[in-house]
Amino acid sequence: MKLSARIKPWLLLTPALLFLLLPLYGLWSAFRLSVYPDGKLTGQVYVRLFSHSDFLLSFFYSLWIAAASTFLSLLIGWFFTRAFVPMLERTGGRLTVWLPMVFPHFVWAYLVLLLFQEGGLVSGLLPGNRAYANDPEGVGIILTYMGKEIPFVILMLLPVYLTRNRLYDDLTETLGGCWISKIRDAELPFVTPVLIETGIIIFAFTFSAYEVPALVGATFPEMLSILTFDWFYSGDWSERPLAFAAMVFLTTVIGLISLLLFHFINKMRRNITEGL
Amino acid sequence: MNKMIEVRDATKHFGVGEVLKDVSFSVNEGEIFSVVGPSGGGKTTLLRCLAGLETFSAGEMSIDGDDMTHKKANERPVSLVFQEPLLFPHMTIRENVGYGLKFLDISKKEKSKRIDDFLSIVGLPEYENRYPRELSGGQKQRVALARGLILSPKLLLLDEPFSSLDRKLREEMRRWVRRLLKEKNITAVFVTHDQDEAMQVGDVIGVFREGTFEQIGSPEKVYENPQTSEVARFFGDAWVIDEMRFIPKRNLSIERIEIEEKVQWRGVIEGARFVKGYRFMEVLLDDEEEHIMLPAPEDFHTGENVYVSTDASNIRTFQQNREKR
Repeated sequence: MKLSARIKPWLLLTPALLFLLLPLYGLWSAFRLSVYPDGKLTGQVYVRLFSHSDFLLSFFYSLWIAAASTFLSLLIGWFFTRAFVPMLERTGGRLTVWLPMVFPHFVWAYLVLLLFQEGGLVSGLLPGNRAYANDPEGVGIILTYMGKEIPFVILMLLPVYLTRNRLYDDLTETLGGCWISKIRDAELPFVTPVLIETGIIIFAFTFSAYEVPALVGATFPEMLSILTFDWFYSGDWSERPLAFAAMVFLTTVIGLISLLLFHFINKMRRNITEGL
Repeated sequence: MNKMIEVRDATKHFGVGEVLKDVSFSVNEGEIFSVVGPSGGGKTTLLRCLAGLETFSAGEMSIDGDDMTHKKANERPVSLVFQEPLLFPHMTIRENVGYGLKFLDISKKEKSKRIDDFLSIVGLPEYENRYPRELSGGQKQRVALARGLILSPKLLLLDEPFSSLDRKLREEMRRWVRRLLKEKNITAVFVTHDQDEAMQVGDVIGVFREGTFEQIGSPEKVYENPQTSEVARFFGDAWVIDEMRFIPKRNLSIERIEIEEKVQWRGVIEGARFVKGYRFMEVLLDDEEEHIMLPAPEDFHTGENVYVSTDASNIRTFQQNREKR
């Protein structure tokens, strides 16, 4: 009985673990090719990578775009959720949030192109006909991600808001608190774990995705995914290990940030779920 | 005695529904006022209006002579203890107890001292650095009470604070809370749907039904002299014969034979019940199609035909009680 109780979770997890083997194999393979570029173990590729000005620029550019997209999506998504919970409870309201999730990133990127490229519908109205698609600041990319990720944030937060005990708001008020104390003490602690979790997902995606920067990104600077794609398919075969090294590094950065934040929210979530 | 809280002609509407109807009452300083009544009668709405979480649609209320009618919850000298402890799960017990002090203009040293005092009062000083998840239901409710009391409110509101606890713990908590409130001379309004709890905790009882007080008085007075059939049915252990007359159950007995000089109702024993160590028999009355539970020292049997008996002098009218008021 004891044995089966120990084995059971692993048996249930087997399909997920088997599926995880695929990306792990890809990562291992990329890592192997980045440290054995010529059949000999060497860290030379990583030395080249970290001294490559294009890589460093792309890395920080990607970091900025991912951080800005994540932060703005979380902030606006959170604001929308808390402001419109009663409307979102209804089917019509929920559908308006669901619909943008159905369209692919490509559609959103195309929409941003239509609206914000030179001569676009919105650009034409902006002072100096300023274009925000294919711009070096990455505003077009950020706008595309926001269009797609804000509804995702709302859908993640909605169940928390629907099940949240609103008596905590009353409690805070009777103990002398104002609206800021209500948000800080009665609302955010219950929302934060989901906000962080959603943030990790958005950050990991926007940091490394290819499609959107390829469509609405500038030719310079490039996001890391574009750079690695170029390295991978360039005519110069000596650049391919750089693409592998860059991807391994990117995965490691995202993995470490996720681990750190998961550790942080686990304690928070335990206190909240067991302490009510 | 100084009137700590006074409510005059208060009403509350939600849409077209009237939840509170011309409610008037006062509570003296240091007094515990138990509001007891069936669920859905408007007790919690009354409490929320007193706390400032809702506003009365009409009427006035004052606390210690100051008009509170239009004041917000965070401006009233009132603390509310809810049905659930509602401890902040991400804060330690110490942080929970001292939460309301953050909004007061007092020194850190004073805050710390008050928290220490109240942790001792509720008997949980060794739990100060633990989280709510590490406490039992009763301990959590003690912390919730300390969190409310630490602000030295002029009025403490308790909304069925023991309803989530088991029976034994509930009884312990009733005694403990009453002793604590009396020691600290706290004026409190205690809402419950349990008449035993209302009697045990309150100095004064208000039977609240359908948005208004049916009767207010000392526990003994309300119990012995119900003024309406509803009060008698809900609060007093009385058998209501009709809307005019009732008999206290202690004046009723079960007999096997017909006794001419007594007033009797025929019935049949439906079964035995045991309440707090005493044996009761449940009798189904023939004419009334009503069940009545009476103590039965003898060993009656299920299905046995019996008479529920009393002396004619024991039959009382609600009118008498209203006149006594």
